[in-house]
Amino acid sequence: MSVFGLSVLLLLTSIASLNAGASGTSVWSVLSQALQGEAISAQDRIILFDIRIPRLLMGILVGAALAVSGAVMQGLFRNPLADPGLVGVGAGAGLGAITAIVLGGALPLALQQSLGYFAVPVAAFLGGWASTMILYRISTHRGRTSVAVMLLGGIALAALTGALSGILIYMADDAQLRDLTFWGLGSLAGATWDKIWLAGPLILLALAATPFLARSLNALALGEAPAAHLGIPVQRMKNISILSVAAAVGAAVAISGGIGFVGIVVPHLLRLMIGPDHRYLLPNAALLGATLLLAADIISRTVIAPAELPIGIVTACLGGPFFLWILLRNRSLLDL
Amino acid sequence: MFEALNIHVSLAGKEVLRGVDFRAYPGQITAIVGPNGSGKTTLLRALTQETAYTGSITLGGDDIAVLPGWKLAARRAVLPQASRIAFPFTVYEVVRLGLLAGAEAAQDTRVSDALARVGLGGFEGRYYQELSGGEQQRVQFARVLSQVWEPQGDDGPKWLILDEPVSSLDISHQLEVMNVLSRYAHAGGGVIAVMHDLNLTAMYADQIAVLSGGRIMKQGAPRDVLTEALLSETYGCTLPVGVAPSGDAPFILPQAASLR
Repeated sequence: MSVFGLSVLLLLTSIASLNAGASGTSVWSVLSQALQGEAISAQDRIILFDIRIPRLLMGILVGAALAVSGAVMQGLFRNPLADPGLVGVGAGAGLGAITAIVLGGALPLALQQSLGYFAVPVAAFLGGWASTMILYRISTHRGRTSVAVMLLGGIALAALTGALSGILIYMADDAQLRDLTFWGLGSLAGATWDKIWLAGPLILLALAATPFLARSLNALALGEAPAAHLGIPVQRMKNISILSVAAAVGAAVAISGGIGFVGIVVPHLLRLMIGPDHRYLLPNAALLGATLLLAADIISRTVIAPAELPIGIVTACLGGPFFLWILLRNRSLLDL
Repeated sequence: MFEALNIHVSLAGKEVLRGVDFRAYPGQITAIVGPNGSGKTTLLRALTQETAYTGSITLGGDDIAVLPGWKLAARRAVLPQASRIAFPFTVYEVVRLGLLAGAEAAQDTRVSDALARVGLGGFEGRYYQELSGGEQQRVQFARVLSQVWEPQGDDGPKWLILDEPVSSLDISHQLEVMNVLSRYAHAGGGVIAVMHDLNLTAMYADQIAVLSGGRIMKQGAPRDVLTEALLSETYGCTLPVGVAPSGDAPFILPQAASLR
């Protein structure tokens, strides 16, 4: 499997994604209407341009962000089971979103109106960013980041944010609870152009930084000291890695909620297929992550059509057993 | 010259190195020996900037604390004691990491050459994680060799700094690795190695520094340093020193009943 092969796969999945849905609208019908000089029907235009294309782009952005962030974190932690969730981005973003849903009504009316439905994504992003920064401060001492302190600090921070989220959930009314549940399960259903403009630049910027990390991540597989002896500016590349992951995952969680396991499954599959070299792993992870998330989204849209299953349930059903399988295979190699 | 002057290192409030002066010259193998806990590895870590120290360490007159990492990487390579690698890299990929230090344009034959030199020709496609401990150590040695392949460069001699390079090798591979180090030094490169096996050290080292209690007890040629009096004082047991049958290197024969 190569970058070319995965690009073709992504293209095919994208077309399938545009064609999937409760209405009969498809890329082909719209194209043939356009080619025959007919006006595209209003219904087709709305379904394709205001619903399915934003959803497609959101799936690509979120899938690529989660998969590449997973690969970067695993390289940074030198552990195939590391996941952006571990550094507290997920838990912090969750707390941010819950805060916005439950307490958003308490904000001054003017602020509520100007934030509009951006309130939840913005709060989620800020929460993810803040928790990453706090954790990074805790685990960095005299310019060195300790992976062990970071992992354990992540557990403590997740417990704390979980408790705060629990208090807020306890305070929530029924309508808010429904919002919370759907946000927590993760979904691409709320895709809009606004959300893409909100998260897209941040995700693309973060992804653009990762190719420069590839060689350093390869060297880091030897350990921090051996990487430094090879002339790698270890501290700087760690900073860039953490910032990129915080930005990409924070933005992805903000617009799509808690979609798990993409960051674990995709890099692992790719290491089996093309090996662990990050120069090839990172670009391929972007392509395969986008493809798999679109495929999961098609399943979520069609399996109980016309209703929709939240995509987080699909990825968890597929990813959970896969994660356990990796764990069992690597049991002897993990010295945690 | 690799020179360390008045090096102090404290770990967790305990002074591990107490004013160490250490010199190593290109063209020679300089061995660091001493009992467990004497500060050998700490001295090596100071030389490779893995630990904070006070004092000055210079490489060819340049303070290593102010040399940028990539410049340093082109002049010296460091072999760690044991190396686990997180992901299923092949032997080829591991050795090729040595070329990151400025030699990425070098022909791919250098990886194979380095592997052949450590007796692992043909291992390129094997998975590092599946090798034995001794084979992994030799793969790491090949990686380090590929980093400073030419013993002399434009910036002067290059250096190999090794923490117990033969600790998990059988006797024939111990000799093979020591022969590679010897040839490297004779071609003008510098070699600094922490060693445990005193006889191997006596046979190959040009200079030996004996550490004890965070201080250098003595540094000099093997026959001047490896004396019964000094070794007995350093290691706390009686170690009779003779002469190896094949030449003039000292030979240490531990005796079962020699504990004082």
